[in-house]
Amino acid sequence: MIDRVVRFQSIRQRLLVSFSLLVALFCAAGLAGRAAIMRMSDVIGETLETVQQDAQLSSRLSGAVTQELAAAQRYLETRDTLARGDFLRLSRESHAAQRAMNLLHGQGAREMSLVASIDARLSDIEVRYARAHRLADLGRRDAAFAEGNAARAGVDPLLADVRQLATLKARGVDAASLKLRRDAQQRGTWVLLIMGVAVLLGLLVVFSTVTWIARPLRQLAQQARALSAGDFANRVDGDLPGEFRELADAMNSTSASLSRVVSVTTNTANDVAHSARDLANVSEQISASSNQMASSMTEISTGAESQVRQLRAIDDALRAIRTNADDVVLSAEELTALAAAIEETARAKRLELARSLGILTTVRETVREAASEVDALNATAEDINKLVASVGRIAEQTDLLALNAAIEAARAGEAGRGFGVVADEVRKLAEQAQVAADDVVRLTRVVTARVGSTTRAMEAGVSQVEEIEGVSRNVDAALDSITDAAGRTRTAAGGAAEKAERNAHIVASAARSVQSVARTAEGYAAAAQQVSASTQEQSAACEQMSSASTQLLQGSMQLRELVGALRADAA
Amino acid sequence: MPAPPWGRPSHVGRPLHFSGSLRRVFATAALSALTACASSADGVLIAAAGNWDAAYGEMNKRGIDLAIEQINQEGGVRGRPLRIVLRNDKGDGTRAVAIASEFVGDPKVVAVVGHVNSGTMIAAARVYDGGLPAVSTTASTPDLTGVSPWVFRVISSDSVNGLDLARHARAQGFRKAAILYENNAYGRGLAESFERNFGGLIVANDPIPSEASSNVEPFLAWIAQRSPDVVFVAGTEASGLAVLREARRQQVKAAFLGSDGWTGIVRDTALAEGAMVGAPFTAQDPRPEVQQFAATFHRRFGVAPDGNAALAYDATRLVARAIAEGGASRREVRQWLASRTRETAFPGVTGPISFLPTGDVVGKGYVMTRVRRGTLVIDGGSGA
Repeated sequence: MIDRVVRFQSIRQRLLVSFSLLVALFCAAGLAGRAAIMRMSDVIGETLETVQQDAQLSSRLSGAVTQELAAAQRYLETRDTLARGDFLRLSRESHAAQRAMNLLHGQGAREMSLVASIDARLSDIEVRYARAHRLADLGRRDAAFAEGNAARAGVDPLLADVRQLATLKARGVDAASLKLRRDAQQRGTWVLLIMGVAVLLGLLVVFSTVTWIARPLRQLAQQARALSAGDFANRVDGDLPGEFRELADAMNSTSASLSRVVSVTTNTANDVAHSARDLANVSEQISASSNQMASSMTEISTGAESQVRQLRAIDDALRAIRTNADDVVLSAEELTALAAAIEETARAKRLELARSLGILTTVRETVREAASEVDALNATAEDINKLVASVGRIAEQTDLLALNAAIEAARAGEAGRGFGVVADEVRKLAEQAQVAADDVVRLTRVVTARVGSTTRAMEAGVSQVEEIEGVSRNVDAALDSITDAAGRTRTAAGGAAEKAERNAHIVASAARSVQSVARTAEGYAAAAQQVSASTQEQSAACEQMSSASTQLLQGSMQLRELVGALRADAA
Repeated sequence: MPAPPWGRPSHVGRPLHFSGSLRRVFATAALSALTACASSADGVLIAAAGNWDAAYGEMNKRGIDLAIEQINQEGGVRGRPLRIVLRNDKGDGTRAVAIASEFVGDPKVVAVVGHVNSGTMIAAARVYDGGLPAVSTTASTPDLTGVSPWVFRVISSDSVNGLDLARHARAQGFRKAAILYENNAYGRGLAESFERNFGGLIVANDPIPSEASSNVEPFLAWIAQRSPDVVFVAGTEASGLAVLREARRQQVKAAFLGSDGWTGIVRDTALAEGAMVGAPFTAQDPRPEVQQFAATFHRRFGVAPDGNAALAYDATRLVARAIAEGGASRREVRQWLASRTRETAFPGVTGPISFLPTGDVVGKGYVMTRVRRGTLVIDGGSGA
């Protein structure tokens, strides 16, 4: 209240000013009370004077009127000139008193009209008495007394008026004293009121001072609590005692700087949270796409692997085919070689046979000489047996190979059909070769046996050399057919080998292609696996990133919550 | 004529008992009417109060009306029309106080012309003392002298008038006088003044009733027996005519002398013939301004102006001049009135007007006249 009017710098100053004010107020109240009492006494004096004046005038009027009337009556009865003089004097006195009353201040309308009425009645009575007196002077006593009686008739109402005026005046005195009492009471009340106000003001000063101190204390405590609770918006302001002002300023500046820090932190946390959220989103997106890619890659890889497996199976098959083909080629080559050897051998045999024949011619001459050579011949026959046995084995094998080739050809389908025919032919040739070989063996055995017998018989029978020559010619023929067969076999075997080689080439190139495809597929698969692996790695990285950004977000959220709890003003 | 001073209302009028509230209602109604009037007119406002019901009151009112008419014809005061608000106090002191309070309470009212009667003026003087200048027209009672610095009167005091009358009587050679006075303030005051100043033998000094029909036979019988040179009657025309009638009946030889209250006796030409009347004004005054006024008044109202009309006319013009020359405020008007001297006196039809510090007019007195065939003729010097 007071501090709204005056700004105090300190509690001490405030207390000094307030109590000075209070003392001044008490002094003022005392002075006012004294002035009121003085004024009261003045009023009492005035009132008493007026009342006294009133009473004096009233008694003067009533006394003069009474005496005047008595004198008038006396003159009428005694015609005493002294009484006549008294009448005139008292008449003037009465009217003077009445005039004085009229001039008095504070006359009521009732009193004024009463005074007027007294004047009127008295004037009338005076006139009547004067008339009566003149009648008496003139010696007309009856008329004089009649007039005197008429005058006296007016006396009672006049005196009644006078009495009424006295009553009024008395009542006026009562009223005046009542007014004085009421005034005194009123003034007493006023003084009490002022004292009460002063006391109230004192209490107010005390309370407001206490409040003045308590309020900033409370505010400071509140601000401290707010600070600890993280509310930096709170400021202690308003009118503070100087003692508190510094503290409040310090706390305010603390609040302000903390508020600024919190504000900056909040913004940063918000930014971080924002970025973290963005990052998390991006990570998740990347992770999702990585996962997709990984799964796609896995699919690709799986596909590639299965492709590779299939290709490998094809490759294996092709390799088997090639191996077989190679075998076929080798066999064919061997066959060719064998066939060539057979041919060569057969040719050589024929040559030898021819020479033998030549020799035989000589043999016959020289059979004896040749008997030793027959042994050699036997050995050679043995060798032939062995050779033929191996030819039979070769034929057997060729037959088997042909069979196999036929089988492969059949497996190769349409492409292998020609081959199948060739293989069949080869087989037949092989069988024939077998048969021939068997025949050779048999023949050889026969030869051997015959040589033996020949040898034995040689001595005896050179004649039989012709037979031998014939047989030799048959052998030559046989050899010729063998050579022929071997040549054909060689040719066939050569075609088969060529075809097998070509097939093998095709297969090899197919296998190469397959291998190349497989390698590519493997490369793909490997690449896919690598991609998958890297996407998985990436995904893992993304997940790590996501989780990191989630952690970051959480962290920033926590930070923000923390900062939000600090309720910093954004400014 | 100095209104029958202050006894008159008390005697004649019935006492009026106004309750305070009723009075307030009156005052408020009057005030609002007044305010409306003033604001619509936008002139300078003055007020007047008197007993307009009585013959002397009516003459007062005519004088005021004529003055206002002439002033406004001449251009008003300070370039503004002069407005007046009239109130009838009926000669009653109580009512006069209420009216005076109303005037004082209206800030637009600059000055008051009135009141007419001695009694009402005395009662109202206490109110005007609060700061409103009032110029009474015909209140002549000595009690008014020095009653308030705000109250002035253009009629001479009865103490002066009584002296004038006594001197005139002496100048006529009268040595033995009888006095009859109406038993009211006016009559008593004038009678006392005459008795004090006459210096000769007073053979009778009797109060008479103020009514025209009252019995004055014993008084005149006694006077006839004592045969005075002159009979001075302090009263109004009503009682005056009763006295003259009885005197003629008893063949009283003495001369008759009346105060300004007697100016109306001229209406009974035969009875009044030869009576001496002390008047504050007479239309026979040869001064041209008086003649002009008298002629104008006669033209306007059909009768010759008497003292009442002339004094009211002078009072109104005096107030107008005070406003014009002093200023349109109450204080300025009072200051102007109080500062009149013999040299700067206002030239009225009743003579030059300036005031004593007591508010009484300076150097004015009665013009002594004698009734000649129904008119008051100036009684030059000694009548004999």
